[in-house]
Amino acid sequence: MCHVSVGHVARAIEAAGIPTVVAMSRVFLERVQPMRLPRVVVTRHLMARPLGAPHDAERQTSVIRAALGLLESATANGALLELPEAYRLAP
Amino acid sequence: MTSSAPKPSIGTGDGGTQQPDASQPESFTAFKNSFAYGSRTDLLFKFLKALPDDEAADFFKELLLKVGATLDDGDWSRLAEHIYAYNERSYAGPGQFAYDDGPFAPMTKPLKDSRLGLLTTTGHFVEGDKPEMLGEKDMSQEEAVRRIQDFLRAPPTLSMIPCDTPRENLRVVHGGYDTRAVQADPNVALPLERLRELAATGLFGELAPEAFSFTGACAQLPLRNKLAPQWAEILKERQIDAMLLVPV
Repeated sequence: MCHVSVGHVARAIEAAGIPTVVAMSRVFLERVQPMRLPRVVVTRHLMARPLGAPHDAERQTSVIRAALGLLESATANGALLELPEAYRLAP
Repeated sequence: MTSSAPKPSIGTGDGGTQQPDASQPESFTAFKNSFAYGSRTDLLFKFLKALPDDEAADFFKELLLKVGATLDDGDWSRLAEHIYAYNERSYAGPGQFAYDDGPFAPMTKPLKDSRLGLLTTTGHFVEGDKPEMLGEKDMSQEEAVRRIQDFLRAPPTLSMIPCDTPRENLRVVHGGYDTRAVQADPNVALPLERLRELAATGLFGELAPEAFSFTGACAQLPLRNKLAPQWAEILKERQIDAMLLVPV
């Protein structure tokens, strides 16, 4: 439900002229894709831990960097970046 | 074991009041459903309710095999991968909302010059600034879980969180997900510390003074039709150039 909620918010913000990027677990991707969001980065992380495990600052940062990179690189609605790294504990 | 029931949607539990009928043997369907707002509520495993019985049975069988293997080699990552795989299966298929097209706003300036905002569905707020939820001034996490159905019928409240808030002053109440990880480290879904670090590197111009969070388990139509457009106006007033959105 949170992912669909963010879908509504992303569409409204984008319609108001502010670019958005959603960073989320891939688990929910099929629920969100029909909402036609502009930019989505998905991780192979467990639900409720979308950016990485607690205290895994390195992974959290790399996901955010990827998301912000998509803000700059996307040229049309539907930009999707799938990050391949599996969930891990903080090194 | 009973035959597979029609696939129910997650979050249709009764808010934790359902108890097994002690006079009847519990069916496997009732057992696996009890993790989703039932007698065995565990929000990390509420997805079991959305799986057909045979798949849920496979989940438990394989889980125990993997626990056994992990006892011998300590490689817990197979457990995470197992939970992830079944979690993904449980959420397969489209949701309730589908559109033929979607908006796209291009960046109007380089990221390094942009003011970046953060919005999450985590249900975070700052200590001392707890939003009123369902008309209650001091909703506990336990009550939020118990009243999940009420949350799903109510419009959400947007909390504003100063971006320099230290993590010890962050609080979270949300009846829709397993909050253990965000309790241990808010940056798993509300990455204020990571964004402060990245702002210092010059990757983006600046972090907006406040982040935003709401309980994503909420009434969808009031959110879509009224609140989300209002929130977008708030972001425009704050001259935010780009938004990072993180759902849980």
